[in-house]
Amino acid sequence: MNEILRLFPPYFQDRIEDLVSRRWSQLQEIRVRMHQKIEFIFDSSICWLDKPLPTKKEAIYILNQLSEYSLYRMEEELRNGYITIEGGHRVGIAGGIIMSDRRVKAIQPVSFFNIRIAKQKKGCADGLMPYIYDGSYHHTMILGAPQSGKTTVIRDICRQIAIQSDSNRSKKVTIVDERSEIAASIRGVPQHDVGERTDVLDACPKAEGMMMAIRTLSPDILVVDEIGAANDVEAIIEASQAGVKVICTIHASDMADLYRRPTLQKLLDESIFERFLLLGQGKKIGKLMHAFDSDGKQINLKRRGGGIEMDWRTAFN
Amino acid sequence: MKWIGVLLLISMSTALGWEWGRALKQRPKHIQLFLQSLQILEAEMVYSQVPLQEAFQIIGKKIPNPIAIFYQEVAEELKNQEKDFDEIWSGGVRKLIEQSSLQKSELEILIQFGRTLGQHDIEQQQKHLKLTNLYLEEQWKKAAERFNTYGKLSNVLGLLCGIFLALLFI
Repeated sequence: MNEILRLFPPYFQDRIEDLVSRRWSQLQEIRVRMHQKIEFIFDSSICWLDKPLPTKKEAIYILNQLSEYSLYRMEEELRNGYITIEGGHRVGIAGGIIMSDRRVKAIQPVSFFNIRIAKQKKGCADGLMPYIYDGSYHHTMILGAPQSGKTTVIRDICRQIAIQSDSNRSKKVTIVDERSEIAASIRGVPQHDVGERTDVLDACPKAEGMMMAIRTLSPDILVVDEIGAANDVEAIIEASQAGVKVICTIHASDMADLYRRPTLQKLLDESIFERFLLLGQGKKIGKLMHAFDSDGKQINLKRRGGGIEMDWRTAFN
Repeated sequence: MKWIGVLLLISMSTALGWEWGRALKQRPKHIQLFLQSLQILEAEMVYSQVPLQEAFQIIGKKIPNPIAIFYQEVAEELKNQEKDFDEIWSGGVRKLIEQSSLQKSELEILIQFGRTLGQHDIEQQQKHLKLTNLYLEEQWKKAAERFNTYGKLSNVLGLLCGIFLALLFI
């Protein structure tokens, strides 16, 4: 957890270490607000660090650590409001907004930090893989409410598909990572394990990135996060016509949500997606609630016996 | 005995004069070197967008001493990351002033510059670089002028002072 501790001044580090001690694995977020107690959010509890309170000096310290004393490199990050650090952790920032031409130009001064601790849960997509692959890959859409672990799951799916192996389950994957969430790249290098055969287009607009990937990277599988805009849909249709399988996530708490979205209508009409996997909320990440096929009919592999799941694991690990 | 004293006195003051002349000669050179280093720094910041530490290492390789040592040391100190950038930079600048022919007037300019380094976006950063350039160029002009007026004089002046003092004491 050094990559997180180092963000804080030395006189904070000991206290934070005392407070968290053995609970690093449960830690989800650290929230720093100027002149307020630092808040630690764990899986099942919340703690505050009473003393010392962070001031402007500490805010500048954290920002300097985030930017390696080089804020001029952070223009893009200051505009988007988050910074990815080593280990794939992301720091959301807030404060005063500077506008230019009616667009957010930068956040300065920065007075709020939300340090979100990234955890890669390897194997969390095990339950989903049999639906995505049964001899060949299917166009898959993963549905879930916020915080249901869509991104974590899709990351694990990438890893499992792109793992180095002789079997024909192993495929070339390209991730179009618009918000740098799936691979959490720093300077183009993924911080998470996304599989050996994966290429990542980092911080690339989805629609454009998908076309670029098809033209130049010849992927078998294209992975994108949180589709929704009209041009994303166009690009997915194009990709599917080019013979590339698309796996994507979308914010939706059930199938009805999907049908309500006008931008997705075309996608559903052409029934491009063959699998819709709905994730449940709860402590366990990657819990599959329901699976549907292209006609919206529920499918259930469990009834055909748990053997498939076993088969999948043994083939890969 | 007397003559030995006289000789010592004269050689001492001559040496002092030489030293003074050397400092006069070196100062504009060192300011010029620093100006060059700022140019490299700007290029690294704007075009390559590398972090300061890396930029300093690059400068340390491209520029001759004593400026190179300064950048290398600051880059080295930045690695342990416990201190503020400001502290590291101003500590480095103080050391540089001692080891080179730069003077107090440069110290203030460089410390001010250090406070802005890495704290702004590129546009602001370039403005600060320009400003520092202007200040340093002014110092350079002054230093060059001083060298032109006193440079050649200093060597002779040391010797003459020595002889004069010796005559006084005899």
